[in-house]
Amino acid sequence: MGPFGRALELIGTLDSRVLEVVGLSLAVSVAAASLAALFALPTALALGLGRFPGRRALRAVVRALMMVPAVLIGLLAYLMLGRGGPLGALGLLYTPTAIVLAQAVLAYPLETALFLAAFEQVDPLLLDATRTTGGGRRWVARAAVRQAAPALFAAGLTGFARVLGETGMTMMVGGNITGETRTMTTAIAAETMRGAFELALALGILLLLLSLAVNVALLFLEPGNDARAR
Amino acid sequence: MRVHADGLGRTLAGPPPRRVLDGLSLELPGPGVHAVLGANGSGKTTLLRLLALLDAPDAGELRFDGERVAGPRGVARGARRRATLVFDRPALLRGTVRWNVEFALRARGVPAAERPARLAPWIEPLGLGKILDARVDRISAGEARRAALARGLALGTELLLLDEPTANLDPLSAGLVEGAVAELCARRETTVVLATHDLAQARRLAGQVHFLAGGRIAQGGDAAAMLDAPRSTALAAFLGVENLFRGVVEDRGDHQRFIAPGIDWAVIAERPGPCWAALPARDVLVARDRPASSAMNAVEGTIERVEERGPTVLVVLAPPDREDAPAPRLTAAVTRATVQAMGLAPGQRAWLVWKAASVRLFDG
Repeated sequence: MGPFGRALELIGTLDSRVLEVVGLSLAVSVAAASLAALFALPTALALGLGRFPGRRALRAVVRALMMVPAVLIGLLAYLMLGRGGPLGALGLLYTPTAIVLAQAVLAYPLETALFLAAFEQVDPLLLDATRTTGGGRRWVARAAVRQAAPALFAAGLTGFARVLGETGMTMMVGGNITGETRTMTTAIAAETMRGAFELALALGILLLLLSLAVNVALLFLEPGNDARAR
Repeated sequence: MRVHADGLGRTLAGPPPRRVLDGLSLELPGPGVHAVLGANGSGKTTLLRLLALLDAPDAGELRFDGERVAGPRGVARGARRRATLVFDRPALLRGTVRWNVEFALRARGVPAAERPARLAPWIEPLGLGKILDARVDRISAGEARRAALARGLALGTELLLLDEPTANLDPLSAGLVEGAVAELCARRETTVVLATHDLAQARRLAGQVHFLAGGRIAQGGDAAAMLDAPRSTALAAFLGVENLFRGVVEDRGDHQRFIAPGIDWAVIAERPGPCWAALPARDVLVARDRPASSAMNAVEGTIERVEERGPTVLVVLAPPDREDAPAPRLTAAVTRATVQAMGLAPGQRAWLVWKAASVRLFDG
């Protein structure tokens, strides 16, 4: 049996090493994408619905932040969380929390930009309709979120897919510690480097399936994505 | 609520920027339906958005019951609650019809216990019983418009602004909408501003009609009087009546005739006396020879002009002058195909034919 066959066997027998890594990966990336969304949503609402000077400049900044390489965020997170860093006392380096924080920072500009795009698809008339009922900004924001909900969910899912596949930064702040901070990507990288291909392949197949599943989900979200008014 | 608009101006951003409202003044004394009549693009929606305090005018000021609520410096957002605008599109959020009304009432701060009672009176008049719990993307366009109107009515504002509430609706839906507006009016509590390009609707529903043209109110006043006697060329042009004449109806026992300089037509009138006669060009047929038909009116003359007007062609006929007065030009609207088939061209002889019932008479 070649490495590919053994990889399938690992998946088929629900090998504990595989399950553990996949579980941690999913948990960490869901948490990171959600944390990012928690901050991205108000940012996108303010930039998308608000009327204040500097709004356009801030939108440009968000787009620019999307281009920051993950490895740079990894370096900054390492310096912040590391022993000598300002947050070193918290002892977060090489913990799943560190991975969540770094991945959230990575996902934040991406999700903000996608949320913004989702809000831009909302017919302004729907917001005016909410204004004319006498509701203030809070209600206008509620209306926008409701109308854009499928697109917002799709944006969150895209953020999740982005951080799930991230490797270098996750390695830097997580450390790929077996049973503690090994994610699918860092495990694949580490296993491949030491020539143990079957686990790497098994995780690779699962990662591929997960990305596929996310993309299928995005596809299904698209028709309901129609946030235009009638 | 008394609404007083003084010199309102608004320019819509371009390119090219367009001065939509320019020194518009308007006085709505209180409850009742006030129609704002105007062609597409005349600024009706822009005006309603100003009255709803959604936009600020760049000139002039707006007062509700004497209190200044909008000017070039912005709008008093708190006063938005006194008015609501029902758009010419439904603008319903994802969800059911009931949820949409609930959402609006919640946004307004109406306590949960009161909300059902706010909607209930409008369910039957607007025919919403069956679709109340249907998702808004599963109902027809007409139903969605009625649902949006119900949302506006349920808010129970002092000022209700309706933007073309029956445009693109089938007669059934339009009838329900008009019925609901009439019912609201009967309570004499709400000041309704109805923007419409539908003359008949303005006549049916409104006590006061304000004709919007050139960025301001070109003519305003009592609906019946104003529409029956357009005093501005803008209004006459808007009324779309190519053949509009002032004259007198004479009773001839078995039928009536409309007499004006150069004109002697068979008409159907309720009573004799001075009036306006409007003959829509669409109702006039063109014939080569004197046709044998039931139409009571036939005039022979020379085709003076053949003008293309979009899908139709206007044929302007000059009847022979009479001894007492020059005969006024008469216009018929026909299709392009007709012009080609009949080979209509200026200089030719032709007959114009129309039924007595096609002549609309307005009391003076």
